[in-house]
Amino acid sequence: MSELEREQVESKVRAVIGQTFGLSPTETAGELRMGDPAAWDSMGHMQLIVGLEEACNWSCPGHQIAELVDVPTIVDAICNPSN
Amino acid sequence: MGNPSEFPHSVPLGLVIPAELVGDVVGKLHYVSEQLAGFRISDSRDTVQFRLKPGQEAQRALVTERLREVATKLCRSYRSWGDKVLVSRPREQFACQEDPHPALEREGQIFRYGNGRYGLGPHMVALVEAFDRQFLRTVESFSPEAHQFPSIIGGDILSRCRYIKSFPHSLSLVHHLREDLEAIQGFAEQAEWGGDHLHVKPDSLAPPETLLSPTVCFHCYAWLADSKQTRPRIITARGKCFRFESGNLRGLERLWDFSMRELIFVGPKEFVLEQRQKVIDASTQLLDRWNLSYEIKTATDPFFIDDFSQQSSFQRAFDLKFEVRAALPYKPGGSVAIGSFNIHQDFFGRSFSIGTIDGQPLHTGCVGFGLERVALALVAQHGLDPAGWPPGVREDISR
Repeated sequence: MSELEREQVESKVRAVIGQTFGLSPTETAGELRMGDPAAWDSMGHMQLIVGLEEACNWSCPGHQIAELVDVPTIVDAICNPSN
Repeated sequence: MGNPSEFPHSVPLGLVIPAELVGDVVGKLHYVSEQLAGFRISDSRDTVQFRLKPGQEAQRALVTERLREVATKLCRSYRSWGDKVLVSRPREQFACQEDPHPALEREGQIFRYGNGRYGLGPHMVALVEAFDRQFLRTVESFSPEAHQFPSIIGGDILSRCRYIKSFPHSLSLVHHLREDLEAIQGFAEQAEWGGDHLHVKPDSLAPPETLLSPTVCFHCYAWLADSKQTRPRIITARGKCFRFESGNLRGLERLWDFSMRELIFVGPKEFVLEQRQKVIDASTQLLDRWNLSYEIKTATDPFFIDDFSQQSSFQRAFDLKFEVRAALPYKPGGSVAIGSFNIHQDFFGRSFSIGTIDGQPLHTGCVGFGLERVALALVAQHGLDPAGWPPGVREDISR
């Protein structure tokens, strides 16, 4: 996957996080990880995963859910679905 | 196929219920309608067959719609996980193969008061008390602080930790009468037992302020609420717990009113994770001493319909819950959860504002053993006669 495609995925991931947790564009652009924003808690985490699956046409394997706690890890998982 | 005369109505679900989810779906279908008299899931797991109570045929369309809604919501976003088994103690042969409930009743070791409400006789009490004492000895090295909590719990506490939203089906509300002379006198005059429930005028009841407590540890978090902890805490308490389980209530396997011993951890993430593992190891020794056949494996809580899919997936993904499932030889392949080892991450730390000195939410975890179920598992596997119980059990009873 090219750097450009990866940036597009990151942009989509940030948009879904913003939409899921009701963040402003400024907040969405910052560092985001589970627990910060506060709404990214246990319920929020699964809402986010489902939202990302729909938006990115991607299926998250169960064993990966616990690892996807920040933007770079999520982008990696979507860009390298076989990992 | 179900007998059509037993279940005259069918609901094609438009999906196949995953085999691992059948128990969860059946558990929730009991709450669909008071007009539902019985149901079963077809062998192909794509249809629910049901019957309505006499005279309730007009409710058929509504019940059909609700059955489909529940199944769809529970199966939505389902992920297949496979069980993670930490400990396995299988056994081929058991001293006893029969359901012990009838014999326990005959011998005066249990008494059924009503749906989900049982009393225990001397041998069963001896088992409950011995296990509880021995569990406390087993975790002595944790130096837990002993606490006692009420059996009723404020609605504010259950609301604060989302229990009311996630488990509404199992709530047991506590009412007292309105502090109003006319209402109290009117209640005393008119209230009467109607065969299966108490007839009361709803307007004589005060709005519920408290509920019967569904678990022990919530009281602990409420005790520590809005505090900054300078050190990790380990607390133990035994209490009565109440979970209404509708048609799922069954003997000592699933009581409405049961006793639980809990060990509760509050501290940094690593501390809580480490304590849970230590208690798993210690509990394994105790369960082996009692010569029980069991498995310790991943599990999820019985979240209600709307929260089920996401919350249970989250628990599975993060290995938040492990259950001790003891074999029930009278149910081939069957088992009952007699204990659980739970991690809540910082959920209760955030919900109750329990933090570190610098304001970070603390993590919590708890271990709980359902004492009546431990006693049931023991007699189901080793019989009713104390002389036939494992030496470790007899020794612990006499200590």
